[in-house]
Amino acid sequence: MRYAVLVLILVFFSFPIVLAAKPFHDHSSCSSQLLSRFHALSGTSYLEDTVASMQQGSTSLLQGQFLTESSPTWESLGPYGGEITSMAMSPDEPNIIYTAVYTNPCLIYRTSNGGAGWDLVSSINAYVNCLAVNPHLPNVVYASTWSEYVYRSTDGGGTWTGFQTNHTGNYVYALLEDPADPDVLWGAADMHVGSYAHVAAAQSTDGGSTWTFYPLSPPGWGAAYSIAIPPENPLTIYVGGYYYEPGDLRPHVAIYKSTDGGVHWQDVGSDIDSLRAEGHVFALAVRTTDRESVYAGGYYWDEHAEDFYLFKSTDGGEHWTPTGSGISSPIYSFVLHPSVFSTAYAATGETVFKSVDGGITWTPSGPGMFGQHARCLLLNPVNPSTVYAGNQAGVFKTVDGARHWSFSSTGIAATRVCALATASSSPHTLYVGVEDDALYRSTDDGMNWNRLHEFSGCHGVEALAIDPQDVDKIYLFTGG
Amino acid sequence: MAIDHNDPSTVYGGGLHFQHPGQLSVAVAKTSDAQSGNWTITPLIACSGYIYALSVHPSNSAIVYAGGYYTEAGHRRVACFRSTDYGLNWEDASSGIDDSHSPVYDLLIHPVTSNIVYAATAGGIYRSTDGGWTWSNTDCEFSPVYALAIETSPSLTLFAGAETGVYRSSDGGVVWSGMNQGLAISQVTSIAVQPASGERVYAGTRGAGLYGLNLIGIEESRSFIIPEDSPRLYQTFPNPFSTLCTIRYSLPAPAEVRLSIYDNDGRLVRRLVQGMVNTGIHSIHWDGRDPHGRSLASSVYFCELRSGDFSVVKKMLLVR
Repeated sequence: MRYAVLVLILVFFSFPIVLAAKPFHDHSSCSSQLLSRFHALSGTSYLEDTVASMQQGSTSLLQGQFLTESSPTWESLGPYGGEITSMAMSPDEPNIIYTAVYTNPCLIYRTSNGGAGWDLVSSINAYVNCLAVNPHLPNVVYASTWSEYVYRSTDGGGTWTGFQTNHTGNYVYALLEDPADPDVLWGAADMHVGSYAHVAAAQSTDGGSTWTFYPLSPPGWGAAYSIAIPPENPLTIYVGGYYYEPGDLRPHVAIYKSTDGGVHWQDVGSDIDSLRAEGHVFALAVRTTDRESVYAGGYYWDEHAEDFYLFKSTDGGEHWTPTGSGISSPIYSFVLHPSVFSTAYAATGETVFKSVDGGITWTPSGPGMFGQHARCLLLNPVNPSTVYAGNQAGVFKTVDGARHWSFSSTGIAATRVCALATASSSPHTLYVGVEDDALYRSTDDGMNWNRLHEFSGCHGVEALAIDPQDVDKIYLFTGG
Repeated sequence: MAIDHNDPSTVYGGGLHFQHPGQLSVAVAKTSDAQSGNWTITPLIACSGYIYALSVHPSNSAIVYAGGYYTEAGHRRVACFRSTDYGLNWEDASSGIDDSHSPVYDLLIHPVTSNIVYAATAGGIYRSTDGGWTWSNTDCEFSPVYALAIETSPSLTLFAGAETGVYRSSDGGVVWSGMNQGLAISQVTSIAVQPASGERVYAGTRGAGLYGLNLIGIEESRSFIIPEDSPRLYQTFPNPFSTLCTIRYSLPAPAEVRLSIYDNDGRLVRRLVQGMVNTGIHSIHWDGRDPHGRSLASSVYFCELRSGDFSVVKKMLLVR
């Protein structure tokens, strides 16, 4: 007899032993910083924002119900972290980083000190899938969303203007600034024509205000999820995604390449396709300084099986070699070391992997990271040993080339709380269950938190109860 | 899930039970010895669905409530069940809750007047004053509602966590006021009051973590109420009542108002308000007596709010 969806895990905490993470630091000062920042935003005129949003056919900034006059003000308690969907930095000022979390409205955080502390700067009323920053103007930021809108901020993420890219349901899934021309943005996209959806590239030449979609695949059903432009050769553009032929149930790997700045495109995924790799390309990276090396990572699934893959080409996509030894989960993004050509990082469903032999073998990076589903990576081009990774638990940072990681999410209060319990025998103790399968405990009214446990393979903590007589005896229900 | 506070080794959990392939039931699991891990599973209804809410009566452990939804012929129905024998047998206790308001996300038993039960649903908050046998919609203006909590000292303030933020009511759920300032995300999925002191309330959001608020020094403010364009008479509370009931009404503008109580035969038995009344929400108590101080008999009475051409009536039951 199986009690699916309802698994009870009985946890008896011997408190100092079970702790899985060190306490978060200096919470009080950071939460007040966050609050004061938030108040500054709330002080802007809600009415003006609403009118502006309506004129643009979009919504921006904060919602009206936050601004109720004279009501008591909530204090953000954390716990710090949240599911990170995208990060972006300006190569000119790599200590300024923007982060989007997987919420709707999407909360946008900004750091100006390389992740030591983050400020909540605004929210966008959509799920944001990708951020991009102007290479020379670090206060100019773009956000693509799971909608027809792309948003632009020119004040460091404080306010956003939404631009409707099309009227036919095309989405932009990944954004990249043209390294040669900051007014030019490229997007990995889909393009709906009649009953078909093409794998597509999207381009804006006016800083995101207007967009043109270019169909790359034949008629069928597909989309592009990833895009790569080597900084040293901005005329070269790769776009990766998936493609179904009409009537076919097999998703084909779709990789398209342009060598003339997007005027002409060629299909460079057919060699992978012939090697059996069906599926979706989530991650692409290109370097042209060392021949034309291309990394393509992705994922395949259907109702019978799921699989992942990593292919590498050293001839600009003409031929591909299966690689990825050591990686055992889907790859969501790559970053390449700018000068050590054999060094690459891959964010995967488990953790961040590193290769020092040009992508042939991969090893899990060092300790300090917790949580799963690392979706995004950023490398500091000025100091390439510094890498940031975003996963389901938050932002992590390494300063030694991924030998060690540290939790770098102070100020990011974006967890999805799904269970909360207090203890009558210990009024200052709180337990919080969050959707990334973690359980947190505070013994000081939520000022500081300890991440207690992770439950991989289940679907989050659904319910919590504390023994009224014994605060260390708690019960939790999990999905799965 | 719920823990029996009178016997903390008794724990209830709810969900969907897969007994055999293709055989599903919405079910409650119970253990009387949580450390052993031995669970007894009691199906409530043999179909797909889920139990989100469980609540054990704070002073009578025999009484347990379970809430959620089940699916019947492709339609979502409200699941609200009650047991009076420690979870052994369950009976339907959903009368009055609209199926279109399923599921029940949370259930709260009033800690003092234990026949009063609140249900947080996708369609708002329902209240029962007869231990769950019948329910009436509190007509709160927010939904879905995911979580409920009550602050037991000093003032029995109710808190609700909803899609659009946190709301509180200091009159047992008749009038709710929003309190969202500072929340970066308004979807509040869980709510709790600091035990014992009641000095702090916590709200868990879907995407912005946990928030805390100190309740000391916060006064009831009426500025949160969404202005309405016509007068409104709220359902009297409690209903039925035996000694005193609270009648609340609101006016969008200053108006000449009459608030009257009529008996079952339409005779005026008491006039509680007559004259100019200011904009806003007002409340008045009625003690079930006529103008001479005589206690009226147990019966149905009607409360009428009249302002010019506008008139609205609520039914109330006096039970001596």
